[in-house]
Amino acid sequence: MTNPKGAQGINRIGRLLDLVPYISAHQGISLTDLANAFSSTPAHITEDLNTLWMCGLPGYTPLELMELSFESGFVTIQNAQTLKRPRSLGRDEILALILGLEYLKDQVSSENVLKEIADLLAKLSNLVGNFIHERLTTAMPALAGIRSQLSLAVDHREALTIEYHSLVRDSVTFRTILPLDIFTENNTEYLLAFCNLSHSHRTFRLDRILSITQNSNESTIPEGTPNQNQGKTTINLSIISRERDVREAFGLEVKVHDSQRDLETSVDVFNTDWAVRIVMSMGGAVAIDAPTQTSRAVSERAAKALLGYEVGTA
Amino acid sequence: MFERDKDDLRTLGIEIEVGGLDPLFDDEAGYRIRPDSYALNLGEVTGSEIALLSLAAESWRGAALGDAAQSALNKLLSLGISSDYESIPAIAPKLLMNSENFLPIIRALADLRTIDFDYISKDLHVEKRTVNPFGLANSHGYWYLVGYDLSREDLRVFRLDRMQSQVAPSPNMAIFTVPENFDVQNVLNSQLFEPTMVAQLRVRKGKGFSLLAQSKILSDIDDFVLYEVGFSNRQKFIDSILWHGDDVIVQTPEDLRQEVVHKLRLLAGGNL
Repeated sequence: MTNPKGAQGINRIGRLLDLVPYISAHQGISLTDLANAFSSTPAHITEDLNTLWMCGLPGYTPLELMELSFESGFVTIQNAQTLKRPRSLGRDEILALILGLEYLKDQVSSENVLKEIADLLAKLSNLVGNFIHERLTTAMPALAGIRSQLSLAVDHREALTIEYHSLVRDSVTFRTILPLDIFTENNTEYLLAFCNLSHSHRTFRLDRILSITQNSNESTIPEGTPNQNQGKTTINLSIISRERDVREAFGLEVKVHDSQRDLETSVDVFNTDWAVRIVMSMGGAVAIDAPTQTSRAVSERAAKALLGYEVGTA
Repeated sequence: MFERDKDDLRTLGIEIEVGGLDPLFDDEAGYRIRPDSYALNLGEVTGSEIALLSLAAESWRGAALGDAAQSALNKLLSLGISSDYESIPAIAPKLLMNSENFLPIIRALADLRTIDFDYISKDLHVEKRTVNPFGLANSHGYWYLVGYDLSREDLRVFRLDRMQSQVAPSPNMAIFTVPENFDVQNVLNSQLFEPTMVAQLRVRKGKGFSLLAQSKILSDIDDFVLYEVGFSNRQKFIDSILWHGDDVIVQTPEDLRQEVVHKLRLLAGGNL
């Protein structure tokens, strides 16, 4: 394990051992599919198969050797004896399955399936030796449901109606959309969709989708490239305090500095109203240096809010 | 047989038995691999269980445990049992976790091992933390580790994306047990989200949606509605009120109102 080359050798033996049962269960699989299943290349897999070809149980007569055929680009195996049984699951593999099942649990409602998941979790936890699954939650039940509905709609190119809360405008609207893709940025999940309301491609935060209804009538989505977003604005900021919060709010890199910190920074935004609201929410911990019209927007907004407190501005 | 070979086999996770196995040469130490410890250790598996396990593995695609999940899946698919998706709902799960610290934390949770890591504090200082990991949870889009902080001598919550270093097993290894009845979600809710304070807010009709998750209506005043709203984190609550500008006005408590007014005056700056 200490030298990487040795570790590689071990990994290769592990893969060789796993190849045999996999081929046994998938006789006639193509080299390409096999390479994909093992995240490898056809060339590497061919090399592995050449090595395997020489293997057999002691005795070493031609009768006991494994029979592999793969010249045609499709792989079959005969006479694999005990090696055709898959190896026991490793610890990391078990942990990955436990977490995956925990996560599934929150998205399933059928009693029978839940029971099956619970049985599998008990079996797997037993192998790890402690009830680790009881100390993990991957739960985002609401979001999980929305995500699977959306990803099915993406797969089936189905139009949906969503109820969406726009945080920047602080309003709730119903929109008919055609979901195109789900992606992640800065720990937040977004849906890219064509929106019939704005007649353009839009991104929606999954956690702001309040409800989804299936659309029975086909929606008309024009072909073409996504609309260009409105232009970028570069905003210069001075961070006065609460640096971690400010940076996280703007999605800026949170890094530790050594001595003198550079508290002036800039951020590119597509929507200056969003930047204004963030600066507001930081309550004076960050100030906008430029452009002046954006910094004026902050002070005007604050002055307007003060009127609500009937304390006047003087 | 060479010691190195045995070590290699152990590294592969293969259990070996060492002993004099040859009846004719009893001073010759040999080793053997028991078929029942070598072969897949899940017992009887049904087609629908294979389908569920495949979905579980699939949810890791492109995320932190993707490789481990993929090799687990290959082993399961080598059993030659065809997956039975009949009874499984049509879902496409996807776990969102790319932090390299995820696997070491999961391992430490499984082995009950103390871990060390550097953590970014509020004022952007890096602090070394030594923690007995109790649980891991996902909430509001972030992953949290809940554990006993040995230097603070208290139960603490850490956000994974605020860890600045690799999580490593602590050299000051301590044996610990997780308290009985420990419930990671409960701890998280009570430390981070459970409302412990209330305020009365005047909210413009049709606005302030994100503030009103835990609220009740008190009265109607023209364009505004007076709500009683519960909150847990004062700082975050103030941030959120300010975010809403003149759509949300604090009525009570007085100190909260004062603080918001003070911050608005700061923000209004030259316009005063």
